[in-house]
Amino acid sequence: MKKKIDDKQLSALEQERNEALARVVKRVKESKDIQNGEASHMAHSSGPGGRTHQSYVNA
Amino acid sequence: MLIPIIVGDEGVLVEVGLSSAPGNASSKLEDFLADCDAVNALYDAFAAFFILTGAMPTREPCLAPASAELLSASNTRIVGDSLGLGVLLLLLTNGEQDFDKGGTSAATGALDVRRDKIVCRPVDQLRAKLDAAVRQGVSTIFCPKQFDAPSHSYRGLFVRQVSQIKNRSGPLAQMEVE
Repeated sequence: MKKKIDDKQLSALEQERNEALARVVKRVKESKDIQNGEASHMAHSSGPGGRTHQSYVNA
Repeated sequence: MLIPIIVGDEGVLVEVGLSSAPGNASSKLEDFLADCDAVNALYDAFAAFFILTGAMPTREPCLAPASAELLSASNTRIVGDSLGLGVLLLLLTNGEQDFDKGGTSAATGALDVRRDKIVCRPVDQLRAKLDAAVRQGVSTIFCPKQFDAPSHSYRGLFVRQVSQIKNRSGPLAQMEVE
């Protein structure tokens, strides 16, 4: 015998899903920002003029 | 439970367990998911569990420390939708003594959760993904516990586990294989 599904609990679960989606999107964005930040930092810290590749070529 | 999943273009086995209480897991599965498809797969499993049993999961999936370390060390995150069925099976088999065997593998697949039934993707589609990864030269199908995990014996497990689900007497205990 089938019982009625509790719509409130199902809605709460959907709300949790949306929150989790938002958390993952935020985490991925922050991770990308950090990666970009590291790349920029490396470019500025690798040699004179902040030109990473130029420094390596000259070396 | 060892769950075979596709991580990027690799097939891997990760050991997933359940935390003692929601929110207390140190290595929450959610924290190792890389995209929205994977998050949806996780929550499809929760929704399927609710529809099948009429109850919300009381424990939260988490990675075993060895798997968490492996994924963290390689900065690997789980993408895609291939873990839904594995998580569902884990939740459903929680507490069953006769199922709690170390090194047990679970087939995984995408879940299509509807109000009156749950449709899951055949395990062959996961195997096709794994085979394609192998053809591309991927050799990393690892297993934290055992090196010779039965990576090609998913189908038998799949049929047995879906059969267990079908035999349950939940409020809407229907599950179909596409």
